[in-house]
Amino acid sequence: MKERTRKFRPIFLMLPCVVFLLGIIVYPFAYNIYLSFFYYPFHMPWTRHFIGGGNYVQLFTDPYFLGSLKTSGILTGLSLTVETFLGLIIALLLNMEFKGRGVARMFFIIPLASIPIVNGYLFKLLLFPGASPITLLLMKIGLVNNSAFSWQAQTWSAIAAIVMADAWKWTPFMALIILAGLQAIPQAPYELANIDGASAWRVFWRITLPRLKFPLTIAMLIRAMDLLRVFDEVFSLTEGGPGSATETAAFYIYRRGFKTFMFGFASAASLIVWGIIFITCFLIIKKVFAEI
Amino acid sequence: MKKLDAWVIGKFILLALLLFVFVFPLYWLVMTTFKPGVDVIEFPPRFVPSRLFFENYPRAWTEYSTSFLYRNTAIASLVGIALGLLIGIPAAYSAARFRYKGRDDFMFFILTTRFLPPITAAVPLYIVFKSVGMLNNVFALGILYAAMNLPIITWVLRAYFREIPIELEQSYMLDGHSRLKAFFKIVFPLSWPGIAAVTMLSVCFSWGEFLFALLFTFNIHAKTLPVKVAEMQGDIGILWGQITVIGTIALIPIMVFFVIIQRHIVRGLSFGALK
Repeated sequence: MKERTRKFRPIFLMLPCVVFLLGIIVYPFAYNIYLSFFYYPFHMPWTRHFIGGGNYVQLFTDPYFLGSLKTSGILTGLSLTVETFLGLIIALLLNMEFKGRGVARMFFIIPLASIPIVNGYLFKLLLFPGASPITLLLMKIGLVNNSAFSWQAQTWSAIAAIVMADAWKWTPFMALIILAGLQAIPQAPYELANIDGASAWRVFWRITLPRLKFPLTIAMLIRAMDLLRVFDEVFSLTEGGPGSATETAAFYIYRRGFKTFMFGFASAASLIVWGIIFITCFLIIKKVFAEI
Repeated sequence: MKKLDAWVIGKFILLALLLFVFVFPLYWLVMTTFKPGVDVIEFPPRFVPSRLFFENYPRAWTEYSTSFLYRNTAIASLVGIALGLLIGIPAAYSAARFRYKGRDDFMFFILTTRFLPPITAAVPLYIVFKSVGMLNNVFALGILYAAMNLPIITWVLRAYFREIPIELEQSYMLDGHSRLKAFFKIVFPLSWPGIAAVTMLSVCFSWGEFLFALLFTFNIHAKTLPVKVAEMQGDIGILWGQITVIGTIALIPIMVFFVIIQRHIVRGLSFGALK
């Protein structure tokens, strides 16, 4: 067998992918690094000049940028928590044997198929002041006292709206991955626990959860990567408002890059975002993937 | 025994409740398409249309040339998935089966391409695509979608390939078959769940992609469904009827696709947990 595979280099299978991605990403990336050192308003290109680290200095003193990073962080943390918690519950429920399980699973998957931008509009409609079934429900249980309650008027409720929209679409993703992890757990430890008369709660903490560590981490990693860059739902649901309260990092870049056309500035901002995601993922991967 | 029954019933009540929470927005989306305009924003909210109003559908179909939007979205997504699988499967296989210098760095590099906010990559890519005359081109969009999908494809499939016992290939190759043949005869047929899962995720990402489609397409030759949706928030307010119609008909092909492959999906997403 050694002879047969002598000419075969596994790296040749990897290279097309790496080269393709390099081709797509290298120019944008280099361009951003280059531009991030320039003062460059796109509508006045003749004023473009090199300013060294000026954009970066300005960014780190811009409360709006720091605020957008904080908003992205809060949004990512909240959405991840909600999605992981609900996804875990749904996965555990769908892991039971019952008639109609396939149909239930199907219904849970459908939100994944929705277009993110439509998703934002759908929740805008579902939360529309005065015409919102969700506000109506909250009124019935006494949490809100005004049918015209505006979700976009306060920071907390605008963030809650985005979390709702994101969780509706992505909890099913979380649930699917956790469900796959659950179905891969062998029966033997459960049978043993049954003999010992362990409580369901204890079985969950001692047997189920530890075995879900890997699928949970990878699902959260994928979600965190995308949440830290979230744009579509913000664009269609709150447009960053009220004020700049729900302005995420990606939305900030959009506003500075495409509304005020400060390209150099936007480039610097996006490199910082890239760096933050890079460090986060690098640490997680080093820690978790070292074990496999 | 009685306590156990209460526990089981409780679980099913919770399941029903969660199903309701997740199906309700979907119901609201589809139901709004059948509402006459005055019903949409009304207090108290209308849970059923005052009368069934069908005009939104033919209007959206003809006024917005929805068939073209559909075609463009489908081509871009298909190119994104096909190209992504074509390049991604060998990479995933290579990373799952072999040890070589730089393997893990390559895999991490592939992942890092998903870190950059798409909005930033958009401007330089716009310049590149313009210079090679590929703006307003669905295939160009497809190429970008392939790049977006590759991190997920390679990472999920690598975990999946690892679950397939290497002995199967080795014994097949000992019979005198080449590695290529071993891959197509042994590994590939066993990988359907994994491929189904990454295809599903790729579809989710490409079908609804908004930013690149918004910036790189100008007219009906290349515009996609999400772009059209964003155009419906105009000076006269948001065209809820039209948005929900496009949202609904955009869901249908994906849902059909999910129904077909859903048996495999769960198995395919196990991320090496079976090992």
